[in-house]
Amino acid sequence: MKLAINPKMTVGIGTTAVLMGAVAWFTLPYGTSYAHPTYAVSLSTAEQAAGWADDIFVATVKDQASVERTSDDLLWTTYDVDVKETLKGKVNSTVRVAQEGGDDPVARERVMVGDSPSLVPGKTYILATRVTSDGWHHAPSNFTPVELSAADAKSRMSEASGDPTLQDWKAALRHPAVQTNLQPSEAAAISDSSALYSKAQVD
Amino acid sequence: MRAAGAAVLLCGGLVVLSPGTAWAIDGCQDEQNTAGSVDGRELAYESATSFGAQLDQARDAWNALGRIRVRRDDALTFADLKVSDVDRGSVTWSGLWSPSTGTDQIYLNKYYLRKYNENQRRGVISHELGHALRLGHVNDREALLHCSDARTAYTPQFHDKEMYRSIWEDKK
Repeated sequence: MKLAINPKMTVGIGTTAVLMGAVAWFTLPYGTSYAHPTYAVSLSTAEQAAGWADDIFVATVKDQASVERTSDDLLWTTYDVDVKETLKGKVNSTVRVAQEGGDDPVARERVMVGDSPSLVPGKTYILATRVTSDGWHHAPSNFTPVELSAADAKSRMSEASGDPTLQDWKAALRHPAVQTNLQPSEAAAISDSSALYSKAQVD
Repeated sequence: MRAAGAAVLLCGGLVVLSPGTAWAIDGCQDEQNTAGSVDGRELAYESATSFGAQLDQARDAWNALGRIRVRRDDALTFADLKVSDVDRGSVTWSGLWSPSTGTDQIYLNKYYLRKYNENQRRGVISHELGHALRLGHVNDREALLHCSDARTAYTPQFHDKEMYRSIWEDKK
């Protein structure tokens, strides 16, 4: 007996199988993978962060904005944050901040880089960042954002109360640490960094 | 008296630590083994880095330990690992091993490596290859797998070799 193959049916079955496979893939739970960096620069103290960062500021996280890969294939999670107070640098208003790693929807993988916890919308932090031509301020994977409690954030508004965490940071800014492998940031290497800051602002 | 002394020490500690209490501790911690990139008894890598000479040296140093064959891929091999360069001053790492559902990656950051000497470059690449061979970080500046470039080793040392052997010794 000769089998008759209907081309339209074959294409239909194939397309359905591919679609079902795609649907199944995007319903899979995320696996977790841990990337391992070797650090050239330490950000373990406020003085080290003060020596490295373009900007140090108090900000409240509004929302997670995106998870994306840059052209060099690195994965980033970005957040829109409201700047409440600038301790160092020129950052102001609402800006985009990026952390390394995140949930890759295509690979179905949660990529963890370093020990820094993810920013949480609604929370207020002290952040140390460098501004980049990617259009964001980058908080590195070995810098742990310093969370300010609601009480801290409230007392911060009162000059008289002098929030101790902020006082520590302001003191550190007067004595930034110099490290062997420290090199100028992208912003410091150009004469006018205003375009970098504009690009990182959220309209 | 003892209680008062302890209180002074505690307060002193808080004063010293307060700016950094929410941060990761400086220096390394001993970590678990990584998932690694080894397939069977072999680690085949694709090289797209400008630090090829140091990559070759790093490969040879690990191959000298004998359990796993680290080699460049060829037309008939699917690479377990790709080694490539990035150029980023906003990250604080000089090298990064990143596992993936597909080919794992080692990213070498030219921003730092171009200022490093040959030994330091070799150290960074050997360190990342160590992760691909399943070794985790250790809190030992004299070990290659120390988590920061403050390490004093550029090739596998005693601690690294011990870890390597414990992982691969009884694997047939």
